[in-house]
Amino acid sequence: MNPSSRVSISESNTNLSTDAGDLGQVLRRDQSALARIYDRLGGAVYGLSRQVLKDDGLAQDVTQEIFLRLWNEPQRFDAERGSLRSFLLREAHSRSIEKVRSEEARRKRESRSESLNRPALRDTEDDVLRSLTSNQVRDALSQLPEGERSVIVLAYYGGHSYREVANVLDTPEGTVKSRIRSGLLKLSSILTDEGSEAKP
Amino acid sequence: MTPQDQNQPEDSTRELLGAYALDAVDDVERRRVERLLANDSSARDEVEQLRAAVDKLGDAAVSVAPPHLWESIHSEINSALPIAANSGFTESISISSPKQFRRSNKTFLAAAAVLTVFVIGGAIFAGLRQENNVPDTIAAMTAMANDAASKPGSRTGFLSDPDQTMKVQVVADAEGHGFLMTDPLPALPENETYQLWAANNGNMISLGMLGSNPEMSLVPIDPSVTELALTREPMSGSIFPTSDPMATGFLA
Repeated sequence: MNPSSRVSISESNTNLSTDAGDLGQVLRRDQSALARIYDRLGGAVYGLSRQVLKDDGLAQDVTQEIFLRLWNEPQRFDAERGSLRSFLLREAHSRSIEKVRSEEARRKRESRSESLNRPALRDTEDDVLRSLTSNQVRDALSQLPEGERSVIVLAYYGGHSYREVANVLDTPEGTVKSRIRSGLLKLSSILTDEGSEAKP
Repeated sequence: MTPQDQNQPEDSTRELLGAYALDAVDDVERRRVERLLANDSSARDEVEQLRAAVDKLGDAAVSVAPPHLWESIHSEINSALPIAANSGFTESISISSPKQFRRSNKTFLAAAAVLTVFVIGGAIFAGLRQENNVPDTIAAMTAMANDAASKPGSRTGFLSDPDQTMKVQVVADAEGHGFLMTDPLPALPENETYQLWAANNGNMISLGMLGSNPEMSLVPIDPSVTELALTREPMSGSIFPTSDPMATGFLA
């Protein structure tokens, strides 16, 4: 069995059923159903967007876009590919990254500088780890070798490509790719094991 | 696709799976990975595993959204409503049920058959829903299809291929609501979609995209439409069909 399909790392059927019920009502244009989804997932969408964007206003823009899109195109969610929470968080991350990269491109054009602000990116890792609201994830990240933890945190929460991470850490791109992959596999294993232990 | 892109060894692409799961690759690399995923089940399994971990990362930064944010979203929805009301129902909506909820073909056929005797069938289907734990989304749309079938002027029909290997039941009411229940259609790759067309004297008019693995769809079907066709198109949809119809049928 694929580890990702284990119950410990997926949401409960209760949540899936609640999401399905509310999404069914969204399909029937029931705004109160969207409000319930927002109540459950709005904080997660906003929090992730703010973490990546480091800007409250942009994070609000992304959150609004995500929920308006869910209202206008609910059929884009495919329950076979995961939970609604995962779907919205992936949308939020992807949209936030687009904004990060367009902001970086704008800054580069304005400063005519090709280099990234290395100290600022270095700070990102410590800031992120301090700000995470899940002890489980923070603990899991802390169990990774530093090299793997750094590349994952900078890429995911910093919204940077692996090439940018390689640049800022002054590490070969191939090494960064390998560390991201091996680090995520370890993270998956740690989180799955912890989830299993937490279950009765 | 560049020649260099085509010649990338599989191992080098496989090394990108982690960065792909983190959204940390560029567009060319993303396409390379997605080509690998289309042909390699072990790579798909690995990405699924990596993404489950990434989902946990994404859920570790929960914050309290500003109180006015929902008001802003709510206001935006309501400001768009008059336009939607004036334009009527124009978009297709498709639902696939989660694997753990997927009905057997036998059950689905029973539910589809119920539509033809919906007055009794509503109660029968409610029983099926409880027994099989069918998601509320499917149940809600089935109830809407039942309502549509009960209205004066509603029409029904089937789309099928020449070999009768696929069958799509259609209910269309006099107000332009169409319901498609598939039995089920073969799942398409993620970058493709089924698209429904109205055929009119050789012209094909798009009625909407149904997604890559639709189980039940709500589409606009004007009362003047009598002939339907289903094609396989790129995920973004097509203005004109780019392939021969996979299934065709009539409403009566």
